[in-house]
Amino acid sequence: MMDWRELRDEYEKIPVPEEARRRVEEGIRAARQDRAEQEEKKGIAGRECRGRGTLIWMKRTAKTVAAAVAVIAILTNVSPEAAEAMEKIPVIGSIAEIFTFRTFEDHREHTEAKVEIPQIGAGNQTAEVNREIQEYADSLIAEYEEALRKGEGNYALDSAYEVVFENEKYVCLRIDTTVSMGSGVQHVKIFTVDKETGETVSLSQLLGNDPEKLEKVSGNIKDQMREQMAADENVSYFIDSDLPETDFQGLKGDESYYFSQSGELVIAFEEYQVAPGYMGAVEFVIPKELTGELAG
Amino acid sequence: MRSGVEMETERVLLENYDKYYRLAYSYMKSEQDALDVVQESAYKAIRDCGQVKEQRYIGTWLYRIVVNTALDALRRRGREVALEEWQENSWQPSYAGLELWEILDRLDEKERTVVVLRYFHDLKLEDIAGILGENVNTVKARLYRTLKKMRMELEPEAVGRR
Repeated sequence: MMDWRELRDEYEKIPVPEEARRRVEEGIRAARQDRAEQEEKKGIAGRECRGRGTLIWMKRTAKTVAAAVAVIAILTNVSPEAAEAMEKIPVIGSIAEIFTFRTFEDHREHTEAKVEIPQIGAGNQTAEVNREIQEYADSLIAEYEEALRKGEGNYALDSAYEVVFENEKYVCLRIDTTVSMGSGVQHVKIFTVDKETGETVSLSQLLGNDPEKLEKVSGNIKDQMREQMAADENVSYFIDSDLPETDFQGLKGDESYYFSQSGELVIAFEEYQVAPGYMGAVEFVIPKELTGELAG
Repeated sequence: MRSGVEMETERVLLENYDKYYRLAYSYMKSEQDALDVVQESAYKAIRDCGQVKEQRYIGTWLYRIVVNTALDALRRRGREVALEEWQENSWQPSYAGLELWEILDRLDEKERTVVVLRYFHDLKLEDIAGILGENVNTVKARLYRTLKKMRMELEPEAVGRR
């Protein structure tokens, strides 16, 4: 076995040259000198950093999408009717217009937040999806503001989105959020939108509101959990424990999901939902033999 | 005017310069490069210490700067230290010292950082997570994985020598 004390002794024996302290002093001196020079340059015109400790709403347009989409985004802000007039059926085109509608940013002493809030499409028909997305972002921001009020040490919130799947029928918008407060939590939320209707499709709806189908998928996930745990002792899920009521019972139908590139259903759980924290946010790919073609 | 945080940063820097040097050395494996990292870290610390609003975070924050500065320097230099440079500039490790480097060399940057900070600098996992800007669970999982890896690779050798 390894002996940490021995290794640590070796580490402590790394000789520190006398120069080390002088170099630290030199670094300190150089930093002060640079600052003094900068302050001199700025003179009395020098101003305090802008916006520290204040909430800043930033409007941003078109992240990955072409300039044409930016135009739609701007029009939306100016006149929803104008934007809607430009939109033709189907509600969402073959390449969904997804753009950062707003970015919520806040930087303070011990807290920091950056939440990108995406929107899909521009017309009224996707208003419902966009409202859901906005609500989700609001809940993240509310959590952040709650932490601010309590003033409990360091808190950082970072939320970004990504289109993880898209075909003619569906587009899956994934929002990954990391909350760090002492320890960290990862949140995953995926909005899968039916392009024809412009509405979100829950897992239950995707499975035709059929409890049997949902149960089959649940069973498959449990099988996969057991298989993985048998194959690797580092893998652990909440299943077959001595506290069965805390185990993964099965899907409720409101879980986040998306499709793999080959169209398989992928269920994405939140961190801690079905596995201990060190497993992170886990996902299960459900074989097509079980689900049939779902992605259309 | 020098703020309280700045004075405290200076104090901690000067008090622990040997720790920062060793940490830098564990990445750079060269005296000159480690000295450069230490100096640059001290520079950044004083330049940016206005960001630290609570003095009790200064300690871990300084570690973060040293780790990031060392990693940046490594990237600039390229991963591998040329053998000549190693022999010319660096401390000639004892036989037992070689064991330390043998172990550290098998680890990637992230694994090494977690091991060094946890076992040689006695930092808590929460602090290491803060230093790396990562989830504490990620750090924990990585530490366990790393320990397992180290044991698996080292055990036969160690047993053979005893």
